[in-house]
Amino acid sequence: MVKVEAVVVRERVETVIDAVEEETGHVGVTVVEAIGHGRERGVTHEYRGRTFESRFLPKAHLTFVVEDALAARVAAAIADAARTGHSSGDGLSWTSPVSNVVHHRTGERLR
Amino acid sequence: MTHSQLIVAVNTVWVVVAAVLVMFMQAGFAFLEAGLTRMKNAAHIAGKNVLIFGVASLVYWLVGFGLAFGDGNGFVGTHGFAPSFDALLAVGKAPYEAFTTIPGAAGWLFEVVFAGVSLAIVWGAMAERAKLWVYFVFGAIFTVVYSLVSHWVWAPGGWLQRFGMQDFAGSTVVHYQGALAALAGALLLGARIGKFGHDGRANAIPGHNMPYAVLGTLILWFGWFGFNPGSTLGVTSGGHVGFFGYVALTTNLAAAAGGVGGICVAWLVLRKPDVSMMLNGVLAALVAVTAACGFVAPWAAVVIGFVAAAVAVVAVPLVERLGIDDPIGAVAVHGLAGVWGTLATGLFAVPALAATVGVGRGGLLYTGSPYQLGVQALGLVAVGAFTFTVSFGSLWALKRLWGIRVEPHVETAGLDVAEHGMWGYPEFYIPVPGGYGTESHGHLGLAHAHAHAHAHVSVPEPRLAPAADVAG
Repeated sequence: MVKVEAVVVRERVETVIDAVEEETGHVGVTVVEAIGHGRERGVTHEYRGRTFESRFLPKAHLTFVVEDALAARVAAAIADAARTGHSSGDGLSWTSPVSNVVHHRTGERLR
Repeated sequence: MTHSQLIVAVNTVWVVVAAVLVMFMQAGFAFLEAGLTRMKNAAHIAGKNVLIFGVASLVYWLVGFGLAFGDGNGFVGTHGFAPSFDALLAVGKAPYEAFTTIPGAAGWLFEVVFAGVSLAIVWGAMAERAKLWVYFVFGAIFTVVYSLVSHWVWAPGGWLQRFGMQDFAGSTVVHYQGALAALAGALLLGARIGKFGHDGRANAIPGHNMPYAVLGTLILWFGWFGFNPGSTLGVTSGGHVGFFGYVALTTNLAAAAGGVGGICVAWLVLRKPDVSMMLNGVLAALVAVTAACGFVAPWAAVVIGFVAAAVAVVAVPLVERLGIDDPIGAVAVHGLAGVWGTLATGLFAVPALAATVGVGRGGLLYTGSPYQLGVQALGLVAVGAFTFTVSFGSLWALKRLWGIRVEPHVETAGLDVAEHGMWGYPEFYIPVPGGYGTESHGHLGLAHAHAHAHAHVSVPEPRLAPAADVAG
């Protein structure tokens, strides 16, 4: 099995998951609300006349665990769906091999 | 103090107290509306109640009060604009002969808080997507529209007043009107992003804080004890001393029936005893009994409240099914319940109470005559046509000229951060200086912070005062 992870802007979370389901038929995801930054290094907010530098922006961290054969297509689907057309902030995705993936309900070992 | 001065004194105390209660309803709307919408818009939506009450007050001083209660003809007041102290201190004199036993200033205060409530209703249906400047411009336009209609119904000699239209505290004038403008706004703005799926089915967008919505509803219920009983404009009505106490009783009975009715009807019809529907039931009942409160028997107040709650519970999803996105339910709760309350007064008005209040006749149930019901319907049609047309027309023009809806990226980010620069609850989204996730909270920073704290508490040793000083 392969773990596909992605950091995306929060508005795109459902778009990305829909795209993965549609492109590959893979169902199942874990979503963690995250904060972070890329090259832009955050944004400036304003409060009571003071500017307020925040190096973090709200993001979401998605994890898919998929069959080896699907990994490349899942990663491609994520990248397409996460692209907003803005100049920065669309996030990253990456894959890594994982072992001992156990399906809790059935006890089945997935591969 | 002479007898007549004493009457003015007592009436003024009551009317000003009632006005202050009604002003507090802005706090009710702030919590209700913020509670029933999303976290990302909370500061904007709560804050807009301050903004629109400011706009309404200034416009009402400049022109609104003169249009509504200045001396004039059956359609519009033509005197008393931007009044000064002499006009406001006089009792029962031009330009405000409408107020016979309170000074013009007390009348102004009591009426401006009503204009503020009506305007607060408008934005409920427009929540989470309107541009900020629209609040300034349409707030001013609506305050003028509101003032004209309140002249028709409430000013002595107003054309609907002459027919005997019974709208004790404004089911039509305040609530129905606010809902008409709210409907126009919701239609022109369109639905919030995500409200309707691709297949056209409505999605639930749950409010972010139900205890806020409960608090807001209780504050509104509390404020309504100024709204309805205060509309006696004094402590005696038609020879009944303390009539306002009876008006408070019918108001409370209706609200109680609305709360119980709202949750029961929701349980039966929607199959869940939804908390927000119970709150809508209370408010719909209060809206409906607003026209009727001085005219009806206690049992009728219960019926009016219960039916209003049922109307609201059924109408909220129905409005959605028509493709209208009304986040707070203003069209159902203030519009349809306002229509019901206005018509119900024409059904249930007791002849003796109509004589006490001095407006209109007994309702269909007591007199067998459809006259009063007809007058009520006439009022609804006239106000509906006028207020909806002017509201829709002016908002349509604003939309064509400058656009009234925020850009999609502003809407998805939320109005708090996108329009005002900061979230209502910043720490839900990002770390803030000195808070969780920043240096002074980390292991090294914590030690740093402790050093600071110690520096603060290390006060110099107190020195005993020399005995000589004490003796001296």
